[in-house]
Amino acid sequence: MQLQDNLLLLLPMLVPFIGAVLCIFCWRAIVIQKIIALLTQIGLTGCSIWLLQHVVQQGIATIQIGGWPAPFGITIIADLFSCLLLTAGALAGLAVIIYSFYDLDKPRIRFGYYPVVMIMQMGIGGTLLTGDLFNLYVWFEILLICAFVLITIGGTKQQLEGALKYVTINLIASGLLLVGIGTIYGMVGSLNMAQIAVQAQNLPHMQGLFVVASMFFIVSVGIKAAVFPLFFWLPASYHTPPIAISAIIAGLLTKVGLYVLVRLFTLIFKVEPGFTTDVLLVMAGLTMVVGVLGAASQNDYRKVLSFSIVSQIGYMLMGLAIFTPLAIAGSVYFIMHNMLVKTNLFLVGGAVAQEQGSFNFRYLGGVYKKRPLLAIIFFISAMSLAGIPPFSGFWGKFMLAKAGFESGFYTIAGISLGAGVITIIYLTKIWNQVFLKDKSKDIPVNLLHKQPFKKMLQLPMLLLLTVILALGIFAEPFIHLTMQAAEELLHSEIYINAVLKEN
Amino acid sequence: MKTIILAAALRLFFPLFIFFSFYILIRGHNHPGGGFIGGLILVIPFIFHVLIHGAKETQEKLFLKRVYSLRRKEQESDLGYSIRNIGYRLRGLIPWYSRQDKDRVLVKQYVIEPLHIIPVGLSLSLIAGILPLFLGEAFLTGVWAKAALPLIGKIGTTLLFDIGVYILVSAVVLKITMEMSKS
Amino acid sequence: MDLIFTIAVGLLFAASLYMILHRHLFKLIVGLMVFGLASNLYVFAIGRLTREQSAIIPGDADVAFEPFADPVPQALILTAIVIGFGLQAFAIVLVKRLYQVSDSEDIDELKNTDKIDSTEK
Repeated sequence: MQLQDNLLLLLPMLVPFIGAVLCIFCWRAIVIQKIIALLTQIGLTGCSIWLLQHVVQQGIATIQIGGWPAPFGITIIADLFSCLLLTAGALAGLAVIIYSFYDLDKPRIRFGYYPVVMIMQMGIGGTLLTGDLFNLYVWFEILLICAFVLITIGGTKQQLEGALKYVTINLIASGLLLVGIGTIYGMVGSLNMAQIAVQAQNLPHMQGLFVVASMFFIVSVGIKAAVFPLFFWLPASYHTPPIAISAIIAGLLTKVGLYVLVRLFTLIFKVEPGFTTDVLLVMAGLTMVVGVLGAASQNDYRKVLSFSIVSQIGYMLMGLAIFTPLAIAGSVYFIMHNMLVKTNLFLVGGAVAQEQGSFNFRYLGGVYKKRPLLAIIFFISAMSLAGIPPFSGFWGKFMLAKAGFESGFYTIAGISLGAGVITIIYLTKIWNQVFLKDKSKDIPVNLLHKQPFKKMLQLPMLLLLTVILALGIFAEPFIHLTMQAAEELLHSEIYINAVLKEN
Repeated sequence: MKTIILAAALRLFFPLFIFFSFYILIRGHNHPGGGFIGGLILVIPFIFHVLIHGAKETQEKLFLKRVYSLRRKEQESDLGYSIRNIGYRLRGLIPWYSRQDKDRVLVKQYVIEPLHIIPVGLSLSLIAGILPLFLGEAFLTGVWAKAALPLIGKIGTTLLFDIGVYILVSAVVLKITMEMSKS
Repeated sequence: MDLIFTIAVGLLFAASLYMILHRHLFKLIVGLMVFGLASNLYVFAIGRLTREQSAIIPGDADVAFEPFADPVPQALILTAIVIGFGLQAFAIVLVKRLYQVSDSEDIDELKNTDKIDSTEK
């Protein structure tokens, strides 16, 4: 029983780690690396689903690393929220790994694509499952440095330029995150998140300092999650690497940042009407508006999607700002849905570019006639992203908007609906430019070396599409799960009791 | 930057640094020290070697592994030859044994890259973490052997973990040094 | 003592931000390093400065003698230094490669990825 309990929570980190070590051992043998990566991802997905099923049935699961009791040692804890994100992330990772078999060039694989992706998955698993503030920082750094390496693999000028912006702003964010953690430790004298949450209620005279610390976290994690004033590094860097890299980074990283925000602001810093709510609301609204406007103005498939990531982050933040059970559930649902849909849209773009040699709308066209299956995959994913019923995005937006109107936040709910309309506009633009219109005749010669289209590229997209469709059409159980997750998040004593009262 | 004084001094200090890094590694359990700092100390002479001689020469001098075999006698069976070779390789493990064999041949040579050492360190640490799981303890619990070794003291999984860190850190820093000195 | 540390942290943050905003690639790296150091020093200072003993338990005792310095901030800083070391090493290699590729040390010239029609493909 002990072994099984331990393994249950450790495997989401151990499996990718073992996979990465094996991959480094087989540095030269690409085929073996591919097999290991595939098996690891399947194993990771299986473990995540196992953990999710366990948490659904038996509630929050915890273990203590090294056997040290709770406030002193490092706690690994899985609640519904983290399990749902873990499963979605593992599925997206699986799709990208399968996709990379047929798209990524050999030099980049030789440079260690698979081990780095595995370690990034480990970092994501650790961030989602840890119950210790400093441990969270360490996991976050692990996944960040993997993202740095992934963005620069290949070393073209564009990639390096984008990476410089990404690295600089994220190093500053890491410094600020450390400062925030230091402030919390200086006030409370503990790093265990549950213990900090308990102490935060016992220190009413320090509320002002808690707000200061929370601002450190908003800024630092906000940079990593690309919220409004701090998002500019994302569209500058996410479109530079090949799709097999940008899909996994775009699909997972910002959402992990958002997970940290939701976790901290439900557990440690309560969102109080007044200062914090206002800050979060303004940030959420502006993130949505700036994101969609940026996306509508771009002429490059990847750049449109990069700005689209920013706008979607706004929706997730909006749920946190409104802070009712329905709103938080909407956020959770939206993060899950977005991980899958965004990854899938990036993959479709990669498949189109592989055949046509470009991401620029000027040189693209006629995909609908040539590749109807690809077009259908794009269409359904895009409709999910735009929030057309019965696809998955609709339920997320519906929950968020309903929560906004119910609790009197009319402005933000209105903005979210308006941003939804512009989302449809820019997705229609992609649809027209890439899929419907005929391919233009005057195309530069260097874009004409077409690669043969590999049908297998559609396999990971179909996999994701199935999940997205299930998420939308059979929404009832998923919404039920997210509501449950939101209840857990809002009643933080459940989390605290699971950590502290275990022994 | 080829200075004779530094090069001569480095030759003397090389073993000193290595032994000192071992000492720091082993003392780390109860006193300041440990795998990370030990690994850094281990790399210092290598970094100096790179500074003095350049990355290429360091690789050739310190990390080039040559594998020799005996020259094959006429009309020798495969089995006999391989047995003789195994004996030769085993004798090669004795540190001060170096026979000036005229009849040995170079079979292959390869450079030991830091990249090949990194997973060894990682997997040692991983094993140290997983071992207690099978004894019914939590992940990464320190499990100690009953008996103590002379000089080293009690051995347990924490020491194994530290050795993993030691190997990993030295390999990573070496990799970074090599990468930066190539231009 | 606290005051000195506070001023030092403030100065370091100010200097690092100045360096990061400078348009020379090398100063950017120096700025990032100083920023990491400043945040480490901040954590050290806010974890209470104690000028007595370290928290190492003597061989013949069960607990360390009061007053001893809190070991947790030290452990945090040690970890943060290790992480910072890795990140800075990566940043240095990145800047070196970027300098080789773009042949310019002026950060203001590195704005191609922000332009709307930047992608050559």
